[in-house]
Amino acid sequence: MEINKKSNLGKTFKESEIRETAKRKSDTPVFLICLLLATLFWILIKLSADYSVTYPLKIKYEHVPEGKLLVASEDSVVNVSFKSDGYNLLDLLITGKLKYIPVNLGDIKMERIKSNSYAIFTQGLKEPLASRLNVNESEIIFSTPDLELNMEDLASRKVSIIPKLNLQFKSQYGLYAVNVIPDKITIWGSQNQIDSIAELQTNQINLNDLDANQEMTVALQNPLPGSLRIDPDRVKVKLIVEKYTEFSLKVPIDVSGISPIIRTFPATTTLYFNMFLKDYKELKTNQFKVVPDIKNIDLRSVKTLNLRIITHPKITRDVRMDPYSVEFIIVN
Amino acid sequence: MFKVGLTGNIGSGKTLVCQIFETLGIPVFYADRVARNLYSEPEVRGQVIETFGAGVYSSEGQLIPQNLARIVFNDKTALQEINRIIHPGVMRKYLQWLEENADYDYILHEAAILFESNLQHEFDYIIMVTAPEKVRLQRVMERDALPESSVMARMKNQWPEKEKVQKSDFVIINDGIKFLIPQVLEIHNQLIEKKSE
Repeated sequence: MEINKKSNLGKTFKESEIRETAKRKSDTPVFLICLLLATLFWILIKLSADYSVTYPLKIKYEHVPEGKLLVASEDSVVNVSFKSDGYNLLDLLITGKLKYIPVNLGDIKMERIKSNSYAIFTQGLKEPLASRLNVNESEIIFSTPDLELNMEDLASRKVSIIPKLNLQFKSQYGLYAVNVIPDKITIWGSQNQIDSIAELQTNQINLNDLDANQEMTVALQNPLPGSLRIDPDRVKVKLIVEKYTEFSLKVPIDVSGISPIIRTFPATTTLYFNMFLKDYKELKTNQFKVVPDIKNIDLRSVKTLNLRIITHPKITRDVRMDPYSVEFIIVN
Repeated sequence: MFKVGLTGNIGSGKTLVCQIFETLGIPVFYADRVARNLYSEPEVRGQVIETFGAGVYSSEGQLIPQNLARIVFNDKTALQEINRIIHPGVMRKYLQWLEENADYDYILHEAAILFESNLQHEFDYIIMVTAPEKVRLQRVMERDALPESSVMARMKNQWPEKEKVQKSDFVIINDGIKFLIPQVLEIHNQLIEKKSE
């Protein structure tokens, strides 16, 4: 009897617990909807409120006067305080209008401080900024009354173009000539900047297994990006690839001017060199000069003299000689 | 005055050795050069054309050495024939030259085919210039821009170096390794010494 009573009590308790859990589950969505609505209303109330804010804004100078070059600006960031409602602030943040202030140098009044230093009064920036930020002009406060910047007269000069080449050729082929079109271009910058630039390089040209002429348009490297203007900024590069071959030429060994007078055996040496076939007609023996190397040598204590190639035409390359040392007699 | 013959096979460097002797003040008779000049003399030209045909001379009457070489270096009889034509003229010039240089202690007569022409008895001493065959082959190929086969054909017409060395009084090794001038000076001094004995 006692056992039956306990069993009934337990059953009743369990049923009650299930009913409670079901009721709690049905309350959760209602709670969440209420929380969401409360948050929404809180946000709407907050956005409709007015705020006094201060933002550091970068200064972006635009429309630099003709013939002038902006070299540096002492103040590149300025703190701007203003009042705005939350809706407008949200819009400004989303559209990125709080990242920088555009300063139209063609339209704003500037005051010359020194030869190349100028000042812009921030007062003059209030109106366009108020319009940009959609705020009341009278409530804009700048952290500084003026902005300083340096502008120099724009100078220009023509400079040569040097193509930067990394070329690999097929056997017996080589670079005969490089034509850059145009071979000179105009650069604009401050006098100091353009005086420091003797030539401009192209981006590197990498080519392998070359056995024929190549032509390509390649960009120029700007050593002072942002302040140096290059026009045009691309050039055409023509690579003339030619076949070369080995030639040999017997050349007299020049002993003139050597004291005491000597005579070498043999009196000539054979030079072997590579050159382009089309240049062969231009080759002459007197374009080469081979002399015995007598520097720091006591002629009476050596039996042979090494030979040295003093000059050879530019059209020849990889020049070697045989023999490269000769016996000699001192002629009394 | 000693008459010294200087010989050596093709590419051995006879001319270079002669140039060293010349620097020492010794007169050198270059038989091959004299022989080349003889080809333009009317009498010799007539004999050569009669024997080998007009093709060895150009229309201007100049010898075409390649054409003559092609014939004589591939035919021993032709080689003997050309030597028969040229040799007397060379000897005549040599004897004349010898008279002009009679005051020297010794003179040199450079000839590539000295032994082959049986001239060794004309000299008091013989100097032989030698070099390994490979070295000589390379030198001639480079000097005359000739293919290996052509150079080998010329080499075959000359006596082997070994035989010539045995018949010579002095040997100069011009292999590109051994110094040349000390060897020449040694022979020069010996000859001067012999002359003063």
